[in-house]
Amino acid sequence: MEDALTLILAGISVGSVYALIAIGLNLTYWTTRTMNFGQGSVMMLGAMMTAVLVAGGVIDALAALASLVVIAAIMVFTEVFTVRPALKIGGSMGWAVSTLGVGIILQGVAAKYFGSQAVAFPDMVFSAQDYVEVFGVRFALQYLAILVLSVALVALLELLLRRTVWGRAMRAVSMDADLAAVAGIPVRPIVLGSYIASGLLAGIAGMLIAQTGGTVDPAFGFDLMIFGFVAAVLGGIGSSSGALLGGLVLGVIEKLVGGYVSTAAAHGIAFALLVVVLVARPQGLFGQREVVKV
Amino acid sequence: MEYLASAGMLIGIYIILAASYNLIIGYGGLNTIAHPIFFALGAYTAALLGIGTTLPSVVCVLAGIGVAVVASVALAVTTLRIEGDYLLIASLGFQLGLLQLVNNFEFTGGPAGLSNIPVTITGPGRGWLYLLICAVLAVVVVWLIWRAMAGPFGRAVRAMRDDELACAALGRSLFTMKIVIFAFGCGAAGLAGGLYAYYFQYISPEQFNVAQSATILTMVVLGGIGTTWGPLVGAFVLVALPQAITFMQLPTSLVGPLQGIIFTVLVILFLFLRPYGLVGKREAGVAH
Repeated sequence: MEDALTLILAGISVGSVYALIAIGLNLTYWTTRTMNFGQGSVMMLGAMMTAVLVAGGVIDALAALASLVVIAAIMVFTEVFTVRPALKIGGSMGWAVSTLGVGIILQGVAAKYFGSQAVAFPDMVFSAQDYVEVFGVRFALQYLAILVLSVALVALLELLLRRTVWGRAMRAVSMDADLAAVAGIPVRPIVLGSYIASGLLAGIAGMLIAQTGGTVDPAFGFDLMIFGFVAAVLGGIGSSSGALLGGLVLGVIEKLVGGYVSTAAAHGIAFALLVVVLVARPQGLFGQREVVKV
Repeated sequence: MEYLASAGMLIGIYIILAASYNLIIGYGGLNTIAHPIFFALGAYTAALLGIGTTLPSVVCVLAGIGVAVVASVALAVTTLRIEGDYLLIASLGFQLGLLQLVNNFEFTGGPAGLSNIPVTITGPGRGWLYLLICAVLAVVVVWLIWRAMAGPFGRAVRAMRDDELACAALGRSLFTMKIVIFAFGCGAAGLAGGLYAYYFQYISPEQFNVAQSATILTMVVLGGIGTTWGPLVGAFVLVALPQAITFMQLPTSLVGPLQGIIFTVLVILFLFLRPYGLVGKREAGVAH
């Protein structure tokens, strides 16, 4: 019983990070209708840069901040040089190649400069040993901190999207970019902004996951990105709250299967879940069916 | 000379892969990136049968094609109702899920793969004989696709890609067409897998991961998506280029990133300079 509770809490915590990844993927999907396959490497780079900087003697917060700045720059590069030109030709799938390419390059660069071995990720707020006891069950403080931070970020983002001018403009662009442009909304900065926001979410998510795992290596991001896709699909690609729920469901299932069956099975289950949900409810477990106008 | 033969084999195998993938995404407009998994199914089935039984190699390769076709129809029936981008994610999930299985089963050799695939043809002419077989098969696959796409079926498929609703309204069963092109394309990938397994005698899961998806997709996009010759040109360029790089004898740590850079830079350059690929014409591009 105690085991199950611990696993579920760990699942919720990790799931909230999957939600961050999913929302990051959603943001760029909404504005450009593409999937950024480089997202996984961006996550890896954020975590790895932070780890290497901290190991080099830089203060934790400063290292994290510096990594996020680099990530933002990479996302701008991704949008300007790999997504925008590819979108000029409808249906060419060029964006899939070019974003994947950015991912492969980043992975290669990280392997070259930071080494292809796993790097230890520093304990940033709590160490893995800190815990609180509730009803006799130990909850790792690390997991609680991650959960609180992720949920706060999701809430903040939702607030920005719904309550601010920029958020409304972004939603307008995601519904119909041409119409938004006609209405005087600066589409280009909005799209760029969505890429930067997506990168920041990915970077933070990468650091949080690296924190729970303790290490990070160049191949670290790819599976995480897929989990982000699964969470996004589970919740329905349209909504942030859906992504949050999808992430939590995925995280809990992953941890339970990982704890009681095997960690290898946990990955398989995630992919099986993805295909099953797509087949049974393409609009996601919590999403609404998209009405197609003819 | 053996080296040339093996490079030729790779080109032939990739021509089969790229041409069949082009049939699916270029002509059919079905956005899947799971092509390598059917390549893998063909390779693993042929290899496992070759190792475990005394069946002739032709039968093993045919069985590989069969398994790839069955798997592709299973995937198609369940996921082709999903459109566009969702299909992309579903196919990715299918590919990674199956690879996960291959990685964890004992009989597939796990992450180490299979390295004891029996020798079928021996002697000094082995490489060239294989190359001949591979070339003939590649020509047959490309010819079949060209033939089918030049005829009425091809026109219907392109109509479906450009406007599903209009095509359905004219009385075409979209579902049947999608399954036919998907099954054919994936069967060809299975054939490529069988050839690969028997010639190189070593397969491992990492040869069929998403990087492989990117490679095949790059070949198609670079050569010209939705054209007959595009995938051939793309396959040739993208196999020949890395081979040329290995001649430069760079340190191994550089080769990985360099390949990524070459793929990406080539694709980006092409998007700017020749958006419809090396051999593509303007109207060959798909308007969604």
